[in-house]
Amino acid sequence: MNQSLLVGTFANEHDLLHATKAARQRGFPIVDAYTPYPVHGLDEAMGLKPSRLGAVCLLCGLFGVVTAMAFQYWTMAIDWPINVGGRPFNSWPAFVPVAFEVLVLFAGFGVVFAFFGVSRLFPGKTAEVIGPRVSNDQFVLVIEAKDNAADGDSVFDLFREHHALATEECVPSEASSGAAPSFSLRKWNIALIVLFALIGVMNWIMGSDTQQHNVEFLPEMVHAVPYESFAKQDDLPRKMAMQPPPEGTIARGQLPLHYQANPKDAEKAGKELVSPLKASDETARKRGAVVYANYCLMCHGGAGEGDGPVSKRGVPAPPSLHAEKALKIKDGQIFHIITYGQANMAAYAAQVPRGDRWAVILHVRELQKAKGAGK
Amino acid sequence: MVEVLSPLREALVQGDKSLSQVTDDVCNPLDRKTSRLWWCAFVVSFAVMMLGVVAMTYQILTGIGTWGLNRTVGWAFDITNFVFWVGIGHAGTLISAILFLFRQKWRTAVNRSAEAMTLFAVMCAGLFPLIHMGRPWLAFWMAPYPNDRGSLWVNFRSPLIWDFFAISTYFLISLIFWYIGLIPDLATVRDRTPNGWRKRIFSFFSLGWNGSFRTWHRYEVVYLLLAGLATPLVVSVHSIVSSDFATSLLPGWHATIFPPYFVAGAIFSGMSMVLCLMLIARKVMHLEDYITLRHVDAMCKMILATSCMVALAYGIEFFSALYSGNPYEHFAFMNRALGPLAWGFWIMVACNVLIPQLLWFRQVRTTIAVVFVITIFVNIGMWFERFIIIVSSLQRDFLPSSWASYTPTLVEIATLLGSFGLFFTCFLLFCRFLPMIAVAEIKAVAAGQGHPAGHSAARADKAANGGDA
Repeated sequence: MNQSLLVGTFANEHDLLHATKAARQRGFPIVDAYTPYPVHGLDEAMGLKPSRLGAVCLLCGLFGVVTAMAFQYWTMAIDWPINVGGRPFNSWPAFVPVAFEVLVLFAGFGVVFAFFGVSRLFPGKTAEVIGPRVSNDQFVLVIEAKDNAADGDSVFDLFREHHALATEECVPSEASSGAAPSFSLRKWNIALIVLFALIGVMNWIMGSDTQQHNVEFLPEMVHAVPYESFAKQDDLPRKMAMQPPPEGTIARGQLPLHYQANPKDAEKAGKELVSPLKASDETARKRGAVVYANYCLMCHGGAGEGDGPVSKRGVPAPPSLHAEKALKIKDGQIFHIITYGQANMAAYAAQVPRGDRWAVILHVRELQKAKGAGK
Repeated sequence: MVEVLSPLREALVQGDKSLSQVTDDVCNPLDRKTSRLWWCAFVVSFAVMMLGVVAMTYQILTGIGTWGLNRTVGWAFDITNFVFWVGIGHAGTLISAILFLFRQKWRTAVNRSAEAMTLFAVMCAGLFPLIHMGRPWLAFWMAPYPNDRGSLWVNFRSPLIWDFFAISTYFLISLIFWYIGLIPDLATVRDRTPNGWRKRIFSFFSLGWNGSFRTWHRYEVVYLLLAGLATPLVVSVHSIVSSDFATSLLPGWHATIFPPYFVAGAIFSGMSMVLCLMLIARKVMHLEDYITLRHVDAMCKMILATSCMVALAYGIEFFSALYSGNPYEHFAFMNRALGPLAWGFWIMVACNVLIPQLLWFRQVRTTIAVVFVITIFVNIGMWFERFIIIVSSLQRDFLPSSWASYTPTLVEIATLLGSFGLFFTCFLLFCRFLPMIAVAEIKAVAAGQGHPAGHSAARADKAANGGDA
């Protein structure tokens, strides 16, 4: 169908609009108009139907929101449910923000790609420009020449009536009639289908090996250079990378105390254990004062009178550290008492490390000395 | 309907331009030789960007221990800058989408560059959380993809994941919106460029646009739909950003007013940034006929309005703290206004609340130099707002034993400067290689307001049609 096209060029939107209206009234088949900007009212003048892109946008948006909600429900409630304080797995209000974002993303891109598709716009397409100034300041109306009413003369008359700058008749060649781009598009589509088919066939032939890792990105953290502690290691005893420590090994800070938590062992400790600290050790004494203030003061009181703040609130008061018995008690026995507790006193081994226990004993002796001097 | 132009209003495009003059005015700067001023600006921006690149390389190689963060103040410069840049971006969408829906025709002169600014600002914003991850090459873990760890999925209940979705959607939608607006103008540039590699590039990206009205007809629908989508999107993005804070239990962050407060603040800071850049651009690119005093006036009014909203939010925050009867809230806000960062708080109040009040006066709004200074103050103030919200709330937490302070390291400052370098480098490249003003849109405005080409008849005709203003 090599029908010729009649082209009228106008200087402003007003002339174009009127010419289009007149052409439609006279029943001329309008092919298209070309304008530098969207002219208001031209769609009505050309008799264009409202675009259905709105519906496309709505459908894409709905698809997006349903997909997002379903995916979030599946991941959070079915595939990998995480118990957060006993709250329901399907905590759908928390899924709304992501669902909304996906809605906008799908609707926006859906409608844009639909627009590109329906308008045949794609990167690298050679533009079929009807006139060099259409994108600048000229308006063009194209009418298809028919043998009956819309013959060349009557159409050109209409153009001239509306102050056309130029009129022209052109016969579209095959290359510019729109067949070429669709043909090349089809070529692309065929190439794509072939490509997908090839990939599918290759995949089927090669099969998949679920034993193998996928391509890993920066795998140093996963595959450590040294032996993994619990990995199998055939050339070592017990066939394990990690070997048992030598007999009698003691972990750092875990020096054993060979005593039981009873008064007999406390006395025994008093005889056997000697403080590693000297009474003149200033740093240890200061440390002892801090430890005393943190852990002992609330029961034993600042001066060791057994009048700490908690004893005034119902906790049984401990005996005074200045009592006859307490003055006679040996350092090693105090160490045992701090470590294992005694009567109402709890064990402090977990809170006060070994060195601190000896330091706090120094402080207790200090208190006792101060009180004794005061007497 | 004799257009929106009452005789009292100035024309949006001045100097009675014909359509081809409009094309020339916007596109000629692209054909001219690069000016020395542009080169100076570019070299400076590029150098600053390189400084940032060095700082980023260093901190990525070394780890984010190079920052001044500590166990108490775990968010500071990074998140401040992130929120700051996202906020800057929002004005672009406001101008392109919301003002489009409201049929504010003055937007056509500034929307293109405002949208470009959005893109660049979101790029700058994205940098900071990316670096904050510590191992940015694992950033793809944020995306829910099937993996051999379970599959272990991201936690969709976390606002940080909402943020990931919001920011990436925002960037993509802003990009496509900007590009859709650009297509007809790319075609315009293509048609006036002599054959060569530039023409080939413009041909590639203009998608074969030929001005067909059937395409225009659909184009307008798509543009309207995108504007309709971008409008709630921009509100959602900054609401979600504010949820990063508001969903925590920290006094000073845990507030229901945060989403609207952040959105208003974002538009406030973004508008100031747009105006600031426009004032430079109209001078440097000689676009005084397109970005007129009327545009400046309109944008000043928006800045004033959002400033008042932000001021109201500041007041409400303090009132809620008082009214809550919660001693921790009381303390957080007393600390904000009178504590160790009080200086920052008062800079924020001065720049965001007090200085913009000058814009009530017409004389101020029409004095370009003063407006320029005010926009810079607003940007400083809005940066401080985010800094104060984040750091002053964190530095005095529930246990006095863990109270700490925060000072940025040189690395952090260099990164912030670098983000500005990136922003201005991108913006300068944009000004140099793409039409800064939406040519097609502004032609519709210029034609609509009637000029010597004998358009009075067209206007009467439009009135008869009930055509849109």
